[in-house]
This record gives sequence, structure tokens and C-alpha cells, in this order.
Amino acid sequence: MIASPRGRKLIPIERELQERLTWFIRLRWLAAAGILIGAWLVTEVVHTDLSAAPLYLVGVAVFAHNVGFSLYSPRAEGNLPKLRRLIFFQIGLDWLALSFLVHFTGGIRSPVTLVFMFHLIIAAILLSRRSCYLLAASASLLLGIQTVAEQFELLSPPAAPEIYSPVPGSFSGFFAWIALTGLFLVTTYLATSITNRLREKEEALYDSERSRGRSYREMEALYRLGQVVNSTLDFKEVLALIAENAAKLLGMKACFIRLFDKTGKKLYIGGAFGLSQAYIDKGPVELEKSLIDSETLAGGAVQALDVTIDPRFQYREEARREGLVSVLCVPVSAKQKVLGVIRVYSAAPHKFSKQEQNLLKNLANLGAVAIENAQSYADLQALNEEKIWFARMTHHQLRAPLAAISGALDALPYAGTLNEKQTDLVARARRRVQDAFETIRDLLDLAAAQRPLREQEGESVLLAQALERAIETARERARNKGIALQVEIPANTRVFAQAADMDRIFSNLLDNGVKYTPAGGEVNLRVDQQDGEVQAQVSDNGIGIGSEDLERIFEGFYRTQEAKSSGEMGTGLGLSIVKKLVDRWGGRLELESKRGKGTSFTIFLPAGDQ
Amino acid sequence: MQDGKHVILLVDDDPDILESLRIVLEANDYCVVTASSGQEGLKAYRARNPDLVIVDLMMEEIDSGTNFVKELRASGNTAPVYLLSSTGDSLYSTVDASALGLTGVFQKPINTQMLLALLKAKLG
Repeated sequence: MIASPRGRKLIPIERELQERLTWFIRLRWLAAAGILIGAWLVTEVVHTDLSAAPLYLVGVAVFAHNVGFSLYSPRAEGNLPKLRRLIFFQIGLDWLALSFLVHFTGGIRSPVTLVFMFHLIIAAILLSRRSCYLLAASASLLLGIQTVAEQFELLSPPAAPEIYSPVPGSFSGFFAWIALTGLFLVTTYLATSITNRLREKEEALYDSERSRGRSYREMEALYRLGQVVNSTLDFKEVLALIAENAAKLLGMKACFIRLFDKTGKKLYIGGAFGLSQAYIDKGPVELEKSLIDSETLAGGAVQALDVTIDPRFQYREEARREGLVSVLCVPVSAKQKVLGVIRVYSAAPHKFSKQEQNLLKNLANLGAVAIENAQSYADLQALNEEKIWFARMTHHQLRAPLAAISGALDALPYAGTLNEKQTDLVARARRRVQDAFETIRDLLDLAAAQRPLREQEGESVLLAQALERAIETARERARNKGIALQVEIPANTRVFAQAADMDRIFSNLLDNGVKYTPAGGEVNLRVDQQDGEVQAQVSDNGIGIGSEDLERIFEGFYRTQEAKSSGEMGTGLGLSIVKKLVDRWGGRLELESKRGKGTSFTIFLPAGDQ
Repeated sequence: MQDGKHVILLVDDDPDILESLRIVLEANDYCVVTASSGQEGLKAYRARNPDLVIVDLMMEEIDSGTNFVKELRASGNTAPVYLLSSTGDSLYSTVDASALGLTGVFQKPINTQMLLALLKAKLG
């Protein structure tokens, strides 16, 4: 419900009609009284020839039927057609009484006929235009019948009293004047009743328009904020924006969002608008000292008319210096967890309406969503960082003893001459240690490859230069195994990435190529650039991959049966690392392979600036 | 030089690594001095005036290896200095070999043959 400035509620049409009906009945009490007093005046005071008894009778009849109406009308409450019928019936009975009155006060020439006008005006207020015309027509018909009846002497009204045609020297003119004045007054009263109604309607309409406009602006602002909340993970930015919008939409001086610290006892600043730096820097709010906040957290919206004297407020003096007067405070909560409070301050005493409280609650909810989003993302990032740290530590902890074992194995021949059997055992042990090193390195690489990129990470990398070491290592292995390695990299090809990651990708692919190609085979690396995209292909004519394995080889620790039986060691992590690193730099990877024929990996990466 | 042998200072917090390296180097006619921390290393450096220094990055105490190298440089060292590092460590540490005035970086596990060849080339 919307309140008008007079504090009157706008009501549905039934209630309104009901109210007007009551008013109509109230008027009729006056009318009945008027008839009785008028009858007394014209018979006892003015001494006309009119007979008093029928006039009194009509007055009493009107009084009687009004008693009936006032008793019956509550029964029609809420029923629109019933109310309309009741009004019609009342006007009908009124007019019947009026017809008698016309007849007994001198027939069709009686000035009482003018009273029909009143009902038409009342009908204009209560009923539709069509109904009014219908009533006008029936009034005319009623009087017409009376006229015809008089004309043909079927009815014989009393002779028109002398006050209708004044005799010189009598005071009858005055009575006519008084009667006319009465008519004017009643007409004016009825007509102004209509215009008052109209004015009230107009005001209510204006109010509703204004509040609709305000609701629209609020909704628009909430929608805009909602978009910002969804598009950013920077909750500080969102809170600052919410503070600004809260102050502006509510027409307030300032807004403050305070969030709990880790202890849950102090509230620090999440976002502020319209407050001086000095006020912002005044220190955290302690929940124990700030009753207004504990009340808010316990029971929703809380307001204070003057914070400079309200004992529930911790920083009264500071607020006075800042020019803050009234405050509205609502909690910022998400999923059963209270995150903090949002407060708006006015510069002059202000009582916050339910609507204002609701708007602030909506803004608080948006803030809560933003905080939760950012928190979830930060948690996820922290978890990832922790995972990488853990991998690093594991890596270091595992490497140190392995390095010591490796060193001891290397030193063994220098500590004394080994026989053939011992030398063989040492060689086996060294090979296994080397495998363990590779597994650890791959695990670390895998963890590092999953780390999300930071802003401004990546640069234009000259591929030929970044792959020098990887190619050199592969070349040596290929030579040892009797495999031809051919490399074609245009000298100026650049990709947007990091040199270390490119090294990992191509070390892995070249290493796989050499590992899984039998002696006498060949491994090729060819790089090409087309339309801002670098295409690098590593192909071999080795053992290949069966179609049933194509999907699975990018999974961690997966090795094909052929790879295992090739006698080559491998961790099964290499391709998984390659895939993640390619994804990381916005590239894609294509794989073509046939068992026994060979394998070809093609990597597409965004080109770097020249 | 000591007794006609080149003196090599090894600094590493892993005693097993120190021991293995000592056996290899001594078998190849070098005089080996070991230290298990940066502090000890500096003391040994001043006392023995080595012809070559091999120092581990020593991740247990953050940057203690690089700090040792920095101090060495500040004291006007002219002997070649090699850093021992693990592939994984180098990915995450910010060691800049040339800025520290390092002669070279060795990856762990150490390739003994390469190490001996390099020492022969540097020291004869």
C-alpha cells in the first residue's frame, strides 16, 4: 500500500464505492431532516395552504427507508454489482419520495423538482456515465408521467402556494431566496465533493508515479551493480560502488561498509563513500562497544535518529565532527554467515522508511555475493599456491636424498676398484635413480603447469632460441640411438609464451619421439607461421599409438602397452604436462597416430610480436 | 695450492654429498676442504685460500648459498666459483649467475665426468 500525503490509504474500488455509499446514506439523514423541517416551515411558519400531514409522512418515509439502507448496506460489502444495485435502488426510492413531495408541494411547477438534480450529481460521483444518463432519463420520465397525469387531471396537486408567485407586500420572496441559497449550498457541496475526490486521485496517482520512478531507478542501479558483481573478482571495487550507490539512491550524505576481521570482534572498512579520510582512518569498530552493530547483527535493520548522542554508537564525537546525523544500519550476510554491516548516514535528522530499509538490504545482499565470489576465488588460488608449494617441497625433499645416492654411486669406483658384477649393479642403481629424478621433475612440472597465469606473464619468445637446449639434448640421444633428427625452425618465429614452458613442451615431445622410434627411424620438428598462429609439428615413424589409447595418453601416469614393452623408461606424465602447458598459453594440440606407423603432434600457439 | 695440489672448497649442507665429492676429487689429486654452512665456508675460505669454490644453493636456509657467494665477492675473491643447483630449484629461485659473478652452474645430480673435465680445464 502506498500512503498519500494525508496518510489516507488508497483503496480498491469496492472499498471506495462502499465508502461513498455510506456518505450517501449520511446525506439522506440530512435530507429527511430537511423535509421534516421544511414541512414545518411551510405549514406552520409561512402558513401556506399546503397540508402538513403528507409532507411529514414523506419525511418519515425517507427516514424509515434510510434506516433500512444503513442496516442493509454492510451486507453488500465487497460485492461490486450488489453495491451498484443498492445505489440504484436507493436513488429509485428517493425519487419516489421526491415525486410525492413534488405532488404535495404543488405538482410539476413545485421548485422541489430541482432536488432531482442532487441525485444526478451524486450519481455522477458514484456511478458510470451511462448509468447517469439512464437515471436522467428516468427522472425525466417520472416527471413526464406526473405532468401528463396533471394535464389530464388524473392527479390534482394542491394549488401552488403563494410563495411561488409572490404577492406584493408579503415576505414570500425572502423564502424563495432562502430556499435557492439552500439549493446553491447543496449543489456546491456535491460538486466540490466530486472535485475533492478527483484531486485525491490525482495526488495518489502522482505519488505512485513518483514512487514507480524511484523503484525503477533503484532496480536499474541494482541491475548495474549485479553486472559489476558478476564481472569482477575485486570485491573492494564492488563494495566501493555499492557504498556510492547506497548513498546516492537514498539521497544520503555518506555510506560505510564494514566487514569482520578474522577474530569476528572487530569491523574494518570494506567500502566507503562521502566520508573524510580522517573519519575512515579513525580505527576499527569494536563489536562490544558498538551496540548499534550488535543490534543490527541480531535483528536486521536498525536506525538511530542522532548518532552524535546515541549511546549505542562508538564514535559519537567523530561523527559529530563529520556532520553525520541519522543512521540506518543493516547486516551484510551470506548463507547463514554474517560478513559485516552496511550503514548510511544523513546530514540532517531523517527517519528511514521501510522502502529505504529494503533497498539497503538489497544492496547489502549484492555486497555479500561479491565478497563470497572473491573469497571463493582467493581460497581457490591459495589452495593452488599451496599445492605448488607442496609439490616444490616434496620435490626438494625427494631430490636431496636421491642426489646423495647418485653422488655415492658416482664416488664408488673412486673408493676402490669394483669387479664386473659390482660395476653392473652400480650401473643399474644409477639408471633407477635417474628414472626417479625424471619422475620428480615431471611431477613438479605438472604442478607448475597447472598454476594459473598471473597478469602480465608471458612475452614474445624467439622459438629457435628457446628450444636450443631441448634440441641439443634430443640430438645427442638420437645420435646415440641411430635416429635421424631433422629440425626446421624459421629464425624469426616468435610465440607469445614463456621460454621455460616452450622448452618443457618440446623437450617432452622430442624425447618421446626419440624414445619410441626404433633405430634407423627419423624424428622431425617443423615450425611454420600462418596468420598470427605458429604451428609446430613433432613427427616420427616410430611405434605409434593405437586408436583406443589416443584419448587416454594425456592422462597422468598413463603409458601404452607398446611404450611399456619398448624397454624405454617413462613416467607417463610428459604428455599430460605438454597438454596443460599448451592450454596455459591459449594454444591447442592435435594428435595423429597409427600403431606401427608413427606419431605426429601438432601444436598451435598464438604468435608473438616481432 | 697445498703440497702441489689445487685446493677446492666444497660448501653444502648435505654431508653425504660432501663425502662423495671428497672421495671423487681426492682420488683425482685435489686437496678438498669442506664446509656445511655459509658461515663455515667463509671461515674455511679465509683460512685455506682455495683455488676453486663449489657451493650448493642450500635451500634449507633460504638463500644461504647465494649470500655466501655475495660475501665471497665482497671480500675480493678471484677464484672461480661454481654453484650447485637442482633443475626444480632454478625454476623458482631468482639466481642470476652472471650478476653474482659465478663462473658456472652445475645441475644436481652432478655428472662426475663433466665435473672432472671442467676442473682439469680450469685448474690443470
